[in-house]
Amino acid sequence: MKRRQLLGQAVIYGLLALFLTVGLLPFAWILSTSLKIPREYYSWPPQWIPSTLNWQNYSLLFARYGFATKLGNSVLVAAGTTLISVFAGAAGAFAMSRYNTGGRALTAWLVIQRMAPPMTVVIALYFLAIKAQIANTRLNLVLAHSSVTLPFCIWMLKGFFDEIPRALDEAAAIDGATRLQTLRLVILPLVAPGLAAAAIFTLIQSWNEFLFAVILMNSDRTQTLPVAIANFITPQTEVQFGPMAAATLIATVPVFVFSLFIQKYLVKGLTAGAVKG
Amino acid sequence: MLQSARLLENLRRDRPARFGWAVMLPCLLLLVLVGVLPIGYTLYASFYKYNFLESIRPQAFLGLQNYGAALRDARFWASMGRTFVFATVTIPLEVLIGLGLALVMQRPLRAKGVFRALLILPYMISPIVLAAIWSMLYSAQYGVVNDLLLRLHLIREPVAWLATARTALGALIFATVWQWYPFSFLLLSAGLDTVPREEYEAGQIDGASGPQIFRYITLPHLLAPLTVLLVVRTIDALKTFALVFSLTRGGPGTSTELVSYYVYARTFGDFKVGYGSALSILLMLAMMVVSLWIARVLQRAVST
Repeated sequence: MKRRQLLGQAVIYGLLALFLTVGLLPFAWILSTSLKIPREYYSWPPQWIPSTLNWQNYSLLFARYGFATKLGNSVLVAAGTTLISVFAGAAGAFAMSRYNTGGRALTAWLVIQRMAPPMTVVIALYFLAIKAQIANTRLNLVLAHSSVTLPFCIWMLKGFFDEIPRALDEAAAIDGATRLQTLRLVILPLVAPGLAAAAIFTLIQSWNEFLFAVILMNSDRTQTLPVAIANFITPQTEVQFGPMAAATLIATVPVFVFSLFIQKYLVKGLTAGAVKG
Repeated sequence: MLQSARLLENLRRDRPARFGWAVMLPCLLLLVLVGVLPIGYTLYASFYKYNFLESIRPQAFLGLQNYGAALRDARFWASMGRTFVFATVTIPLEVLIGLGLALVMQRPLRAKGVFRALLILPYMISPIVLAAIWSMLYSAQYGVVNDLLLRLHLIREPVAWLATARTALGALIFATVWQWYPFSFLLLSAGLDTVPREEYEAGQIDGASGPQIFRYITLPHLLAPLTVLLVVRTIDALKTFALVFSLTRGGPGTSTELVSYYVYARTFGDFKVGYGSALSILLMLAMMVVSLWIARVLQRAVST
């Protein structure tokens, strides 16, 4: 019996090791490639481990590929999108949760907007932006990202608001608090973790977003990180694996760090408004 | 008219409702700006001849002609069919792998949180990062996929995975499964956590076999997460863009042209905006129909 249990444990850990290898090996590969010199990343058979740790790919990104600008654009767009979506989303979620504002019609619209393919939205935003003279601006990308993240935030935050018992609102009202005071002093502090989680989800979504970014941002000055990475994948000349791997890591590490803060909310965030009813 | 007048009258009297709308206002304005307006505009453009290279405004009202043309567009249907294949291969693979992982992770383990955080990393990355990683791994000349398969004697010479019509779609599928099985792992884990211990114990006492326990005790608790998974991932398949755009541009030939990329190519490649809009609206309808249908089928499965 003891031996069988041990064997079972070994199988479980073996499987786990397999999953971890398959899941993480590609990341190890880009880390290693980002530290190689051209002779090493253009070698056959591939050289798995660089002979020396070489950081020049990272400095190249800033010196030759304008990564300071791309990073800045990504940060600005993600921050703007998050600020707008969480603020407006919280307001909307609160009104829907407590006052049933908008009722079924609004709920139905949110489902439609959550489901609308980005392609449907981006066609209009591309051509409307030209007319509104905001084509190629970060503002246009913030609006595009908000078209996805705002309904997301509303759904997710509505869940958090719904969890707060109404008895608290009533108690506050009896104590003479106005509606606004109830919101500010009683409810908002309780949904603070939810707001933080929604903010991190939004930040990651905007930081990672590619379709809107590549279609809407045609100028070097306003392009975000994902667009810069796409330029590495399909270059004019030969693929520069080293700088490309470095760029990929720069785009990925912040996401990994942020993802640590939302482990608890992952399932809730993934399914926010996916199917209701 | 009368009804909206009455609504306004009620609103004037009903202070809580008024407060709700006041709080909602910023959200509502933004929803109109980033949701109603663009989707409405695309819908509007879909009824027009709108060739952007001729003029920046729509040229002539066509009624439903764009839609008629779209429904007769063989390349559109082919891209839909390819997307269907893409979905019906990726999703079951993701579910099987994710379920396996979820069952493994149900066991008591040390440092489970750390394992979980590491296991879901592929899921967190940008679709373009996914494309970049796999473009390196699949590289015909320097790629590590070829290196591994050659060492294992599974292939005789390096394969240009993304440039060969027979392998390109498979290569995209493999990369997609790699990124997304953690998603089904997360959802199915949450489902497994809802199975009460007593039901397992009761099953064991009654002498049920492993497969029987899975079929009659575990599976019913997984139907809800499976519904979510199927709906979300089917919609994702219809949205797949970054991988196709940056790895194959739909090629070789049209062998990897999934529907979102086709809509893109039509709208932004030859700037037939009216026609592209109609295609994108059809895509949107397809998403709604498919997700409602999946949800209904599985709902019925839950209730029986």
